[in-house]
Parts: sequence; structure tokens; C-alpha cells
Amino acid sequence: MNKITKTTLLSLIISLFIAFILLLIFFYLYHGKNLGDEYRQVQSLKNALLLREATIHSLQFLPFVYIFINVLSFSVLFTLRPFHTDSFAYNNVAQPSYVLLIIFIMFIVSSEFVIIPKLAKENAPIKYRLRLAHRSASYAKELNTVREYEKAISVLNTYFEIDDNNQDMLDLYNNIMKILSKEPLPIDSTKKEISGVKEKVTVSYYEKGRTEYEKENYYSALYYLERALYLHKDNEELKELYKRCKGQVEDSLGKITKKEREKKRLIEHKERALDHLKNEEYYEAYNIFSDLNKMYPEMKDLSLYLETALRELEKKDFLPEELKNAEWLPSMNNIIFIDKQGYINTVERIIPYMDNFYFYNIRRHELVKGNMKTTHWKYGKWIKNKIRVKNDEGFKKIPEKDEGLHYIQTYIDPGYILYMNNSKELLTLLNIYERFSISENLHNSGFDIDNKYVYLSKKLGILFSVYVLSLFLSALAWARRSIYEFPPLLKLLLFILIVPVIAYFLHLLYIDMNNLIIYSHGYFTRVLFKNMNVALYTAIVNLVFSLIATLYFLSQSSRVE
Amino acid sequence: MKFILKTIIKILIFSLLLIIPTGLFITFFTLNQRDIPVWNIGIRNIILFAKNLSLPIIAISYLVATLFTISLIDKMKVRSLFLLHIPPLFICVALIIGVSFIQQSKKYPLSIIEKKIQLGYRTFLREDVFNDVKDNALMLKRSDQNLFTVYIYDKTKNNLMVLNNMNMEKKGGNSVFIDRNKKQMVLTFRQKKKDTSLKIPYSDFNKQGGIINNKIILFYVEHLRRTLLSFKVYFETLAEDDKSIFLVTVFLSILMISIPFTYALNDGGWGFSGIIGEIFVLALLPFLYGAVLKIVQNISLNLSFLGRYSYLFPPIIFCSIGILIDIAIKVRGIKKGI
Repeated sequence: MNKITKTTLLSLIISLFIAFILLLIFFYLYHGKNLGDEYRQVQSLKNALLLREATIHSLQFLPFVYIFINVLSFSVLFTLRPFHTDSFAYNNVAQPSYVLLIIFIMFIVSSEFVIIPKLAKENAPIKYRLRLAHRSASYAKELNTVREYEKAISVLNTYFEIDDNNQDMLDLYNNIMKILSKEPLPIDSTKKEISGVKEKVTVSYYEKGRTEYEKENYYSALYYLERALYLHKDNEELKELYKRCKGQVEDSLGKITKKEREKKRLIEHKERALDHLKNEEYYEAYNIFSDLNKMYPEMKDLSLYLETALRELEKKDFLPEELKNAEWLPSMNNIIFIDKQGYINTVERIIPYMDNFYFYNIRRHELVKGNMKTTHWKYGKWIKNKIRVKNDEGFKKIPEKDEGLHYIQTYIDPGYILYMNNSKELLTLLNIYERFSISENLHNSGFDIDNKYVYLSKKLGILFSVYVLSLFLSALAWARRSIYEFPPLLKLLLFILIVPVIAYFLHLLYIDMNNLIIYSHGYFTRVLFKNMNVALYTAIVNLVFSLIATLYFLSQSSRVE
Repeated sequence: MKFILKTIIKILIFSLLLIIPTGLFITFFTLNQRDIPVWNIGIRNIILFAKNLSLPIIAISYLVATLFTISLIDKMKVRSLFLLHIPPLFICVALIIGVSFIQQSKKYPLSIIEKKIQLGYRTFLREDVFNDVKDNALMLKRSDQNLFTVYIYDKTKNNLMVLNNMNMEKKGGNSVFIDRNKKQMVLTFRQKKKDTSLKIPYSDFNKQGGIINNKIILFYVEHLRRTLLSFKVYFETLAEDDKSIFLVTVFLSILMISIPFTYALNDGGWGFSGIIGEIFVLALLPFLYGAVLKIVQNISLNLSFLGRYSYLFPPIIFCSIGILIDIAIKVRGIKKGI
């Protein structure tokens, strides 16, 4: 690599780097100024959001910046003193510029297909967390004002999951705790308490049972020992402890109810519920344990069995209370989509929270000619790739024939449904793999999205724009380059001000021209090559332009006309 | 003579090369300004629309081609600056005579004739998907050959309206039709035993196209529109016969001022800066003209010496400025010994 080649590469890379940094700073400041109030609550998240937004926009603007740098280099930079050597030849600057252009196009490919969607995807939860923090802070203050302290504490706990450094919120938390006549927690212990929630105690059923037995909590001990016995039927030590525990419970049962008939019924019911639990019939088990628990709240084993059934049921069903408690969270509003069962669904609110998706006020309208009927559901929750819908009822087993009514089978995940209202944002989120794998499902859901090959053709337009414009304008700039030792300052200033704008508009014009090429595909295939793929057609037409630009670029020389 | 001929050929070639991109840009831009989505309209309509706009398309591509030729011209080969004016003016005059002849022989005025392009529901909407229509999402679901079920979802109120058996071909009853005069799509239907209609202006539909919706372009065009408006006000005060003369003189005066401007910015030592200069001139010219028009409208001058052609005062000012720049360039050239 000779000195001129090195200088060429260095000047192009440094210019590109400086331009990118300048763009990044500009967009960071621009977005910082225009950021909505709901995204300003947590400084660290706000900075992360701004940095990603600025990077996305800088990457989107990078193609035209590269075109501008090429024009600037071939028009001015490569005519300056470091290039004034006897051995200088046009090839010394053209070759490294061409190689760098190819590398840059590869970078643009990864940027357009992967990096930008990845950054946008990372931004989506950050945005929601900021909205959540903002909503939690304002809602906790509201609750404090109306003296709903318990609820305010729960809302503040949600806030601390996002940001546990905000002094105002910590003060509010301590004030409320004071009012609730509890010891105010020092800041550190507040954090400790919050993080402590996540800690899981993993102790075996047998150990738990023995501990409860030693504490004389015989009902709890019975529950754990029964669970342990279910898993280890032949353990003698376990059998012995269970026998002793059962004896204690029977004694105690005598204190709870003296009526033999009632005692017998209780044992029968519990046995039946245990059978249901064993056969994974959780709805039935839940109903029996729920009734028994109401009748005998002192019997801790019943509530523990109830919890077990509840845990299992929550894997396929939900209680409306869960959604009522989450109602205050920020949501995506008024969303419409089509499902696999052939219904149009409208949802008033969707709340994405802690890996859950909650749906409020769902209306379903069957896509059948002349149908005017609509079914309405108050709540819905995303469970096992479906939306389980219901009104105010608790856990209720749905007969197989009615499943279509109580479950919405969507074409796409709720993470995409959230953006059905905001097509621009959704399209930015999708990387090339998703565009190819789910664009049909998005279309089936009613989302107005381009065919995957049209998408590819549009992206090709960006790549070819960089290639064709960089080469063509570089060649033109070189043919009409400056022959001054240093160009006149006023003209140089005008050049630096106007050329980026021209490069930007030419890049946009090329992309529009590419859209025109895509548009002409329909007409072309009517006449010739009926089944020709639109992406292939676009690539061929663009290749012709590329060839012309390459030939023009290669036809230049270091001779001054 | 050789120089004049060569320049004429260059201008004509550039004009021909520029006419298609300029035509497409102006057509798409005008369609977009009229809130008509450009990608669903069909090639026949685009050609028809471009034909309606042929006069401004020719004028603009010719102007750009002329300035482009001058900005790239080798100054060493220009013996006299005044000679440089001849090729563009020659073509311009020839074009004007030609157009006037065609106009007269076909007996219709010079004004742009608005031929009706065909618009249908497909221009604005795609079937089976939710089309964004301002605060609504609108879906068409075909139920029969010409009958559709229309679903209109109000995104602000979470309300879905279903209109069955909407006819897309016939007007009246349950139907969807385009009201071209009021620039709106009209949906008529019976609701609660009453004939009701829903009107959606073109502007509520999603706009398409990259550069034509660019904020900078729209900002520029908004300012350009104001200039054109003051031009229109001035233009409409003129008698029918004077309008054509005024238009021709304005175009000639634009050439007269932009040629020396571009030539002055053309730099033999840095040819590319000449191209930049041309773009700079093109961007500024409408505003310069607007400023001159405003001055003329706001100050009262005694223009009796122009007789009945006093309305030609603004183009005359432009021509005069152009001639002054010509003289200044000539004098500067003499001083430098060129």
C-alpha cells in the first residue's frame, strides 16, 4: 500500500467518522429537546433511549453522508497538498475509495437489515419502562394525596423495580411508611427489601413439612408431607412423620368440628380434590379447595392446596382481579386486528407488563357478510399463544366446543399487536428475518404491509443509491475538480453548505426512482417474463445504472482537461 | 457560429435528458399536493396528468438544462458573454413561436388544461387491510363482485362501524364514490332508517412518496407557493391577451438574469462549484422574483413611458439586473485582461 493510498483511506475514514459523530451529537440534542415529558422520569433510561434514537437516525442518514464525503474528497480533498506528488495517479485514490465503498455498502446492509431493527427493538421496552416510571410516580403521588397509602406503596414498589435511586420517590415511600405507623426504612434497606422479593427459597417438601411439624403448624406440615409422599412413596422416615402429623391433625379436627358427619364430608371432599389434583383437573380441585378453605380457614393445608391449584390454573386461565390491579399501568390504546378464527377484534387497551399482556374491553365481530353482531369481553390475557377472554367470572372450565368463543387465536404475537396502530414504528422494529417470516401473518392480521420481495426491493434501492450516486458524483466531481492549491474560501463554504443538501435530495430521489422501478414491475411482467420476481427485476435495472456509474468512474484519469 | 450551434445542441440534449425526471417529479409533486396517492393511480393517469402539466415541465427542464450547460461551459471558449445569451434565447423564442402556433391552430388558450384523470376507491384504499385514514382505520372486504363490506374503526373512540353491501361501481344507495369537485371520498348508507353519508377528504388518506413529502421540500414549497400566489394576484389583474405576453416575458427575464448569474459562478478552476452555483441560483430565483413583484405591487411608480405594457415592469427589472450583471462581468474581465 503506497502513501497516497494510505492517505486516501485515512482521509475518507476520518471524514466519515467525524461526520457520523457530528450527526450523532446533532440527533442526540435534537431528540433530547423534543422528547416528551413521559420519557424524562429516569435519567439513565432517558440517556439510553436518546443514544439509541440518535444512533438509529445517524445510521439512516449515513448513506447520504457517505455520498457527500465522496464528492468532497474527489472535488477538493484529493486535490490538496498531500496528494501533490509526481507518482500520483487517479487509480491511487479511485481504488481505495472503491474498496471502502464496497465495505461501507456491506455495513449499510447490516445496518438496514439488522442493526437499526435491533436498536429499535431495544428502545421499545426502554420507552415503556420510562412511561411506566412516569405513570407510577404520578399515580403514587395521586394515591398519597387521596390517602390510599397501601396502594401507593404497591405502586411505588413498581416504580422501584425500574429506578431505586430517585430521592423524591424514596422520601415519598418513607413518608407513607411513617403514616402507616411502621418504621421508616433507611434508603439502603428499602433497596434491600425490594431486591429481597426476588429471592427464592428452595427447600424440599419434606424439610418444609418437618419444620412446620416442629413449629406445631400441623395443617401446613400435612400439606408438605402429602406432597412429599406423592413424590417419594417408599420413604419410611417420611411415612412415619406423615402418620404422626395426620394423628395430630385428626385430633385438631375434632376441635374444629365435633360432628362426625361433617368431619367425614370434609375428609371425602379433600380426598376428591386431591384426586383431581393428581389427575391434573385443576378447575375441579380449585373449586373444592376454594369452598373448603372458606369453611375451614384454620386448616392451612387447604389454603396451600388451593394455592397449588391456583398456580396451575394461572398457566391456562386468569382471574379478573389480576387485570383490575394492573389497570393503572400505561397502555397502548384502541387497537384493531383480525384473528385466525375470522373475527375482527377491537381492543380498548393493551398493557404489556412483566412478560404478560393484558387486554381490556375486547369486541369481536365475525367477518361474515351481513353480520352485525358483536361479542364483548371485559378482560383478556395472553396465555399459551392465545388470548383468553372473559368477563367478571373467576376460573371456569370452558367446554371444548366453546373454546373458539373464549380464546382468540391470533396470527401474530401480542408484542406485534401492540403496534398495529403505529405502522411506522412496527416496520422499524422488524429485522430481515421477521420481515420474511411474519409479513404474511401481519398482512392476515390486517396490517398494511408490503410484500417481502417489495421490502427487499426497497432496501436494494438504498444500497444501489449509495453505490451509483457515490461513483457517479465522485467521477463528476473529479472531472470538474478544483485545480487551485486551495479552493476559494467563499466557494468552499458554499460547497460545504449546499452539497450535503444536494446529496440528501439525490439519495431520496434515487430511492423514489427505485420505487418507480418497483411500480413498473407490474407493467413489465404483463409484457415480458410473467413470473419475474420484483426484487430480481429491481436488482437488474439497478445493476444497469451501477454499470454505467462504474464505467464513468473508471473512465476518469489524473489528466487535467 | 460553431459555438452557438454547439451550445444549442448541448442545451437540447440536456433538456431531453431532464424532461423525464423533471416531468415525473413535477407530476408526482402536484399529485401529492392535491392529496392523491401517487403509487396507486396507474401509469395511464400519470401520463395524462404529466400531459396536463407539459408546459411547466418543458419550461423547467429547459431552464435547468440551460443553466446546467452554462455552469459546465469552458469559459476559455466563450468569446463574448453576449453571444452566450443567444443559444438559450434562440431556443426559447423558437419554442414560444412553436407553442403559440400550435395553440392558435387548435384554438385553445395557453392556460394548462385540466383533463380529468380517473380516480377510484383503489387509488386510496387497499383491500383486506386496515388503511390508515386520519384517526380511523378503514378496511374493505369484498363480499360480491362489486359489493364490499366496509369496516371503519374510530381509533380515538374504539368504535367499529360496519357497512354491508357497499357498491363501488354505482352511485346512490349503499355506495362508495369519489367526489372530485370537493376532493373527497363519499360513503352513503342507511343507518337507523335514515340515509346517511360519510365524507373523507383526500387529505385524510396516507400520503405516499419520499422526497415529495420531505419536510425541507415542503417548507421550501410553502414559501414558493406564497411567491406564486403574489404572482397569481398580479397575473389575474391582467387582460386575457396580456397574460400570454406577460408569461413569455417573465420566462425570458428569468433566463436573462440566471444566465449571467450562473456564468459568474462558473469557475474554470473548480468546475463542480459551478454546478453548485446553478442549484443555488435555481433555489433563490423564485424568491428574488417574488421580492421584485412585491416591491412593484407596494410602491406607486409612474410607468406611463411603458404605455399599455406597464405590467411588464417586473420582468423588465429582471432583464435590467441581468444586463447589469453582464456588464459587470465584462468590465471585470477587461480589468483582468481577459
